[in-house]
Amino acid sequence: MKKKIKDTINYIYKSDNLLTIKEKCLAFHPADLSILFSKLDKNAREKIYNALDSYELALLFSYLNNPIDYFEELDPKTVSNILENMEIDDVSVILNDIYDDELKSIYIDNLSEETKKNLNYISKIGEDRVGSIISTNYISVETGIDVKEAMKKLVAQADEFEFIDPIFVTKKGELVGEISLNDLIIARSPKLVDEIMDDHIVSIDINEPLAAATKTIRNYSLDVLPVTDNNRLVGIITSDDAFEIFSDIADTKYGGLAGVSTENLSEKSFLKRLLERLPWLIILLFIGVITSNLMGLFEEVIKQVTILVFFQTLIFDMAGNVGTQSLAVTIQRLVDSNIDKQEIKKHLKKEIRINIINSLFLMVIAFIVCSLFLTIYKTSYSIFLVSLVVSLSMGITIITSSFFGAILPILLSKLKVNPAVGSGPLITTLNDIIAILIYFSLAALLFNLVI
Amino acid sequence: MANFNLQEILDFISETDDLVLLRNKLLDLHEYELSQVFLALSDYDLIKIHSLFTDEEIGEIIAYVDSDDALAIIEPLGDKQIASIINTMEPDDAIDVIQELDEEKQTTIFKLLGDEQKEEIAELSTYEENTAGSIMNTNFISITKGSDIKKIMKEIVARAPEVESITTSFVVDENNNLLGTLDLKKIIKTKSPTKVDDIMDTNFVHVNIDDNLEHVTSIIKKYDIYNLPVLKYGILKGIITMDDALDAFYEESEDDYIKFAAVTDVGEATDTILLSVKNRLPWLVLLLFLNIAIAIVISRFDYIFQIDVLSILVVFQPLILGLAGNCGTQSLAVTISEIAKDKLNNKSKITIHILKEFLIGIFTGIIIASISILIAYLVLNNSNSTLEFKDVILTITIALSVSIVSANLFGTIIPIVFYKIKIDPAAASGPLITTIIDIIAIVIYYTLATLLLYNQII
Repeated sequence: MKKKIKDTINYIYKSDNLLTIKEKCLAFHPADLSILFSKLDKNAREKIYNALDSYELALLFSYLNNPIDYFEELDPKTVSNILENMEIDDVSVILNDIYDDELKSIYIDNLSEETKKNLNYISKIGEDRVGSIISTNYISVETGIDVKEAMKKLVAQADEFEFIDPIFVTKKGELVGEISLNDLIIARSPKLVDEIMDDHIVSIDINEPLAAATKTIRNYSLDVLPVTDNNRLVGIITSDDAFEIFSDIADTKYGGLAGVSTENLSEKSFLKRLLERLPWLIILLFIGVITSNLMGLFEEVIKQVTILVFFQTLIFDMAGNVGTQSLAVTIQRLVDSNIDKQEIKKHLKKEIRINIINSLFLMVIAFIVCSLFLTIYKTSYSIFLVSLVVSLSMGITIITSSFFGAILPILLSKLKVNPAVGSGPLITTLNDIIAILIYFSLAALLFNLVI
Repeated sequence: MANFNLQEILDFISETDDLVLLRNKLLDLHEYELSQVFLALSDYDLIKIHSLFTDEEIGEIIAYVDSDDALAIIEPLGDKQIASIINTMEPDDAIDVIQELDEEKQTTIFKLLGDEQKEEIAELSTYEENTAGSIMNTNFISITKGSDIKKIMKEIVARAPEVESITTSFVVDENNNLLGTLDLKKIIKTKSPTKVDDIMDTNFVHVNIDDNLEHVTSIIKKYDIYNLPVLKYGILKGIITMDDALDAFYEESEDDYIKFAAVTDVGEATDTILLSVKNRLPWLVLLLFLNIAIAIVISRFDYIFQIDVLSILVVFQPLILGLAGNCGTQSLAVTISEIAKDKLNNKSKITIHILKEFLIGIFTGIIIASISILIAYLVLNNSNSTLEFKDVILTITIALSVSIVSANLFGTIIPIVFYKIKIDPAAASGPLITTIIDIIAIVIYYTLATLLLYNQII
């Protein structure tokens, strides 16, 4: 494939024969053509613009990562023509990304009335809602027509619409059934579509969250999920959309746990990748300094019971681990569905209960192992007291940390901050601070030290 | 969504004695919904409901759930009926269910299957798990080259009732080598006489039978292909449908995520507390023991803490470990994600990835170290320590930057090594990496402290 792309690029640079260029371009899948296209210089791109028609260009542009960058090379009329031929959800995303309002309104003005209407319609729907990604690339027929007519319509429109299986049956716009292509093709006239349609349809409302649509597509193994607005059929979501959404969700979740973006890595420059990660680390550095200062307050305790230092990391890490677990579960719940107030309470309660049980187990194990270790190490401090301080502080920090892990992403999402952005690192450092306070205060208390 | 109310259905089942009415009501449901009904039933009701459905219907229903749930639905039945249900299933689904059985039962059930199914399953089971062959299905429409489109249309009509999708057909030569794909859209637009060769798409995308699932899902996602042909030395062996790929992709990414977070299962909001404990506690116990190892490592440096003025060093330990741990987790997340997206599928890509992460580590280390030198001046200035001020700062900043660089390296290399030796790369979970990095950072920090500060005092 690489060689084929290279050869074609060379050809485009040398040749002025638009017909052959078109032919060579169309031999590629648009996904590959978009890779080829992004490697061309302006002159060569010009040739592509002239060789392909606006439908072919629209297909190419819908696979490009940054289609807007090329708009200035085209006259506004051509841009509108390309947009006109794109999926309405893609058009909406692209137009949202154009900052030049004047240019944007020119592009919109040149669109057909129907596209404008559709744009207006989906612009009213939230970004994380089903409506934001619907496509109108399907065929529908009215009830009461003969299968022969339906077949005729299918043949006539097959080129224009990407998804022809199943075709949907509506009654005055209301979705009432669907016909799989398999059934339609073997049906013999005279027969009404009503007789062969499946009236138990799985569909989704336009205002449902995206995650609900992907869940339905996966559970029901659908290729195409019809979308309704007050029972009226308004569009479809397809399983390739679900693929994209799942992939985005996976990236988001990693972002949450690790404080790093995993999206489109290979396209990002080294510098960009570095800069994306640095802000978090610098914030953490500053919090780390606070932690160190805080620990400095306990310098006397540390000097008197130096053995505490051995177990400090254990307490920090265990709290961090439990926090990560609670965080991961909470992020998962958040991407699965919207949580209301009552559920938040329930969720927090449950996380704490789970971790009370976990911490009891861990405290017992920690106490035993800690005593064993201290016996072998032959310390002069009271083995019992040290083990007690370690296991107690570990138990307490585990519970507070699970609470933070569960509540932080919820708080962030309520503040409309993407819950996934770097909750992980934040929680770990937050836990460190709490762990220091608890560990050394407890030690001071039990060893009768004055801070 | 169609208003599917599980509880309502379950109530209806336990109340009604009218089996005909019950069957009609249940047939109104989608197979997925039925599978959920079946899973919610008690064994007693399950057997009652089973009698209402044909084996083929049951086979379709259980194809919608994971193989362990599928088995749970048919397990109460006799061997003969289990075999008869499995006989009706797609071979790729059938094999998953059979593999859930214990070995003895596997042989019993397998013997009871029809010859054709036996053969298909035997062939499929030769393909390794996690490869294209393991999720392909063999039910597709193919036609030999040179045929007229009328013939393919006839074939499509004849097989429409049994194949999953008729939108794509495949053109092969006498030896079953795949020559091109043929969209139904094109067929219905073309008038006979036209040979299939003239309208088929020869630029088709395909995968090979032993390609891994990461590759398969990345291809399907990239090209939006609903029926992806699977080849073995050019010969068409099966197809992978979008829904199977989506399932595989979803499961893989869920699996990566839970391992990354060190839980056995994220579970559902409705899980009991006990189940959640079971999902998390084993990991925590493992990590606790690893952390004891850290305590042991630190105890090897106890001579440092004996000296009063050096106890200041302990104060900076959380800072160093915290930052290094985070850098390591970042590299880990990035690497696991890249592996899952099939972006690290050859040597040079792996080398470039490791180098990049390494460089990111170096730059991060330098930048963080310079900032911390600045801060250190502000924080340590007032300390009336007898130590050489610059040596303390030097120790901390060198330890910090070296730890960050090695954290990035380990976070990158460990999952790649796991992947190469065929362990799930996500098993190098976040907490695990953090703990390993802690050990490394501690050794670096206190060794440096020994060299730069301790030796100076003694």
